[in-house]
Amino acid sequence: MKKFLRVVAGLAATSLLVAGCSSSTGAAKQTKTLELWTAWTEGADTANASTTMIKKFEQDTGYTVNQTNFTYDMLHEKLIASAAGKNLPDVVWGLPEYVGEFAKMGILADLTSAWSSWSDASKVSDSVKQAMSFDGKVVGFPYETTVRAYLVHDNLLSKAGVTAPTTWDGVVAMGSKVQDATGVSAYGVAGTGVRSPQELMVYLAQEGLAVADKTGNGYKNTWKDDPAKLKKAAEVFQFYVDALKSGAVSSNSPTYGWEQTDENFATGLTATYVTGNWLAERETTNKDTMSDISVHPIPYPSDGHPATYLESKPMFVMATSKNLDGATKLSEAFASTEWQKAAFPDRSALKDVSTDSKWSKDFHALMDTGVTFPPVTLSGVTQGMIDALARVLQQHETPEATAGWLSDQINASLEKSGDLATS
Amino acid sequence: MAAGREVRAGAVSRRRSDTRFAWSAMAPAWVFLVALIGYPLVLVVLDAFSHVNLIKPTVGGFAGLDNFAQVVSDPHFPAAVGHTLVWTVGSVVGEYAVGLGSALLLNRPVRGRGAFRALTFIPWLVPIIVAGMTWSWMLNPDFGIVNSLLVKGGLVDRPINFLGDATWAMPTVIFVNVWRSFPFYTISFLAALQAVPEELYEAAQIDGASPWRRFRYVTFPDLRSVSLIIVFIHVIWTSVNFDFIWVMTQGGPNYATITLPILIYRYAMQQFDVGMASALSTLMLIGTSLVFVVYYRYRRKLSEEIVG
Amino acid sequence: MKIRTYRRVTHAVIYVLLAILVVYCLFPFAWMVISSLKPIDEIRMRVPTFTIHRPTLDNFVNVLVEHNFTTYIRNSLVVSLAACALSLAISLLSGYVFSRFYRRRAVKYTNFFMLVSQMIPGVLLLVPLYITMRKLGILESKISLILAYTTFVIPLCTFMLSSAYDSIPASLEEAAVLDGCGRLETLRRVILPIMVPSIVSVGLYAFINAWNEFMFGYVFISQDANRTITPAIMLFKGANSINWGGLMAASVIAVLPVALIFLFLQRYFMSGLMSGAVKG
Repeated sequence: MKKFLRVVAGLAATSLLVAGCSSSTGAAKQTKTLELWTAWTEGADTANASTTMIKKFEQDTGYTVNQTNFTYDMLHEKLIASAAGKNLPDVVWGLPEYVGEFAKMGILADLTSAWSSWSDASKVSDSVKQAMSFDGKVVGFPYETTVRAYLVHDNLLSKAGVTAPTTWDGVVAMGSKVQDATGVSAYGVAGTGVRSPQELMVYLAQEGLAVADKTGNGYKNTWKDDPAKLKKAAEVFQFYVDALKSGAVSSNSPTYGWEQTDENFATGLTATYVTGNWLAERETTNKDTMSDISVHPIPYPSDGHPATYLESKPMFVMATSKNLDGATKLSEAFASTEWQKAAFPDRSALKDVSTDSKWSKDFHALMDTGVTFPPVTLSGVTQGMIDALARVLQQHETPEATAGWLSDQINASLEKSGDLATS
Repeated sequence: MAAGREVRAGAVSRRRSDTRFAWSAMAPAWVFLVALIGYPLVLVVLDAFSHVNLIKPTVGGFAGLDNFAQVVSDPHFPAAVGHTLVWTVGSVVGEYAVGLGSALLLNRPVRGRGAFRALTFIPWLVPIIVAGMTWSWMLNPDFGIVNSLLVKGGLVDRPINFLGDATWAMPTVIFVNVWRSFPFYTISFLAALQAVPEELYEAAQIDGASPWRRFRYVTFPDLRSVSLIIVFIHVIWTSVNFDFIWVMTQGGPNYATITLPILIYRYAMQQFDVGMASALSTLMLIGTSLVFVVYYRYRRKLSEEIVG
Repeated sequence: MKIRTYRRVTHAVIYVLLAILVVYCLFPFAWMVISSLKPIDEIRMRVPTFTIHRPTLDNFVNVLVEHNFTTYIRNSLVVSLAACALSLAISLLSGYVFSRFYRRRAVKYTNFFMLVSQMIPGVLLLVPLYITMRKLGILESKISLILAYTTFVIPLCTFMLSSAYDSIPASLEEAAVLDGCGRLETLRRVILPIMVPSIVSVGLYAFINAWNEFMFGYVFISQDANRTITPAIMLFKGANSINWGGLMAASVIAVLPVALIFLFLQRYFMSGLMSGAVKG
């Protein structure tokens, strides 16, 4: 027994010693070190290419770059904690959803002047620039930009004798034809999770509706101010209901998140789906089901216009950085032509960076119709959109009531986050 | 006379040295708790009564009961309270039953007992996030192995959308929670069962007592103390538990599994309203205190019986 | 005759129940192991199977070598062992006080404080603890994790050990005191040897809690060299895709060593070490 206690005590002492000695605490920072937080997929091409480019950057500029990888969720919580503890890194991979909230927290550096002197600035569309601006100031450089497209399993559709629809009516008209002929559903819909507000926003944009319009000194959802707009919003929800009722969309869709909808498409359980070009990698993992893909524009209402979701991820520079110059340089480097060609060839905002594969150029062609979320604090808005879909698809409320409810919810959220226009 | 005073003096000095011992033995625990939990705790209570918003750094000041009023009038609050109760009671009851049953089983002298014990232990070792993701994958209606086996075995006609169906979601989440948490009960009960001398069992058996009576009068009394602690601490942990439900359903489908901790997370991380999050947390703290009062009464009763 | 059949039937029933228990416990883990041995083109099939066409160790090699997991395992071991030892040391003392001095008001308040400390949700602990660690200057080091994990488990360890102390009659201590032992010595020489099963179970609990902890692991630590294993496992969940092979392999790697430790330690749960010690 004594021996056991001695062993325990010894272990404790040793562990503490080892922990104390071998940990790299925040020693005196070298003046030319940059802390970079990324969220790439380890081992993938982007990661490897970026690592090479970072080394080159270090040689060219003399800065040392300390790069650590996380997931976006981890990054979000770390940034909030670090902001409170005044211990922010220098450069961070961001998501468009974060622009509003972090700008309001006051931790993002103003990159407007850097952007205006950026050599590649003309190759980037205005909507991309808008996606990473807040209150007239640019707060990020675009490092990864994707749009959504309508992917189709040609073999499955031809088996059912159906051609890829180009309008909402076409989607609904597919009905259960595909299901009957092939045993899989025709059209994929994400009913919940982060993907569903993105899909919903596209359908709204196709009817000419924005989630929130800039008016006066802020933003406001104006559907209820104009009966025509409210009617159109209701039509969007009616589309969801019709597609579900007609049998074109799986009855489980109301509770599907992106993990499921993407998986269903990749394994051939859904014949067509609106999604992004990251599914290219599934061609290697699911050879038997992913060999027949073609890329199309997203179906839109016959009285509307085409649109797609433009996701342009901003590279943030933290306002508290001790090396603002170097941090800005690094951030700009990620978005530069050379770097984009190396690490993000099929996911770039630059008009002239794209590969020959359908996963790149066919998607790139749709970029002009891309829409983005307004630069406000989004989490309440997107939650409202998810809840609205649940109301109409799971609680069977009428599309009209749901559209009105969502309008109120969005404005309530804008008010709570201080984005609502008061004049 | 003098001898009596001596005895009394001896008793007093022993009591004083006892007190000194008690204080110094508790001191390390106090240091850790006050240093690391004291500040967050005070902050939570203070923030509950203030306006604190991460994206409105200029907003501040005393809020009185504003936050509490907003929390209680949240349309999802009643549902969250109900779900938290169901989730907590369902999980703890399930864990207790499976934990006690398995401890009794694993205490029997069977061959390979060590291996059985090690295998039973495994659910507890799997990190919560991984367990949640794996179970979600296995329960998936389209490519989950569970549905695949159920349908192939003819037990159901169509796959069950375990996590996506409003009626199945909560029982499913409770089931997975029980799976993950019961080994802790097993281990604690096993440790306590070692204190029951073999001879008592055998004596009872020779006396012709049925297995149930043997359990009730020989085994169970020694488990009361452990039971009390495990049950009450799990009541608290389960009611505060956020990770499990968040990983599997995020409070869905359509708020069918939303609990109070999930609401707290949403207030803090989605609305950035730390004031409301703290207010709800304070309400839950008040709930604990009530649980504590009940627990402490039982504990004292038990201690009196055992230690005297 | 009757007794023998009764015994045989009981034995059989027990084995069947044990088998059901094992299947119930192991099923997901078996799925994890099988998935981790599947190559990339078999793991995300539409129809899930338990059979593997071409089993491979690629995922494991990938995780250990390319993803730096040996570093993470080492970090987790150091942190978890230290937290375990530290919390045991502290709780053995405080648990004793809880058991023997339960009548004192101070004990009641400490009891309450410990329970309340378990009630604070992680999301509200995040910022204050981060600030505390920063002020102490130990952010980014293993010590911050050790201290945090120890604090989280002290309440339960104290309660569990106090209940273990409860089952030891005061007469044993009194006998030792009569022999001239001080309280601490009594504790060390007489009581602790009897409590080994409880100490092992409480220590295991503290270890596993530290080993599996996820959130503070990634919030306090920003350098890859200091990372612990559970936050690292979550890296396999990418932004638009999940590397199931890597995730499953990493999880298996995280679970197995602890399971082996338990297999080794579980003999301390066997009676025989115990019977006769409490009597008389």
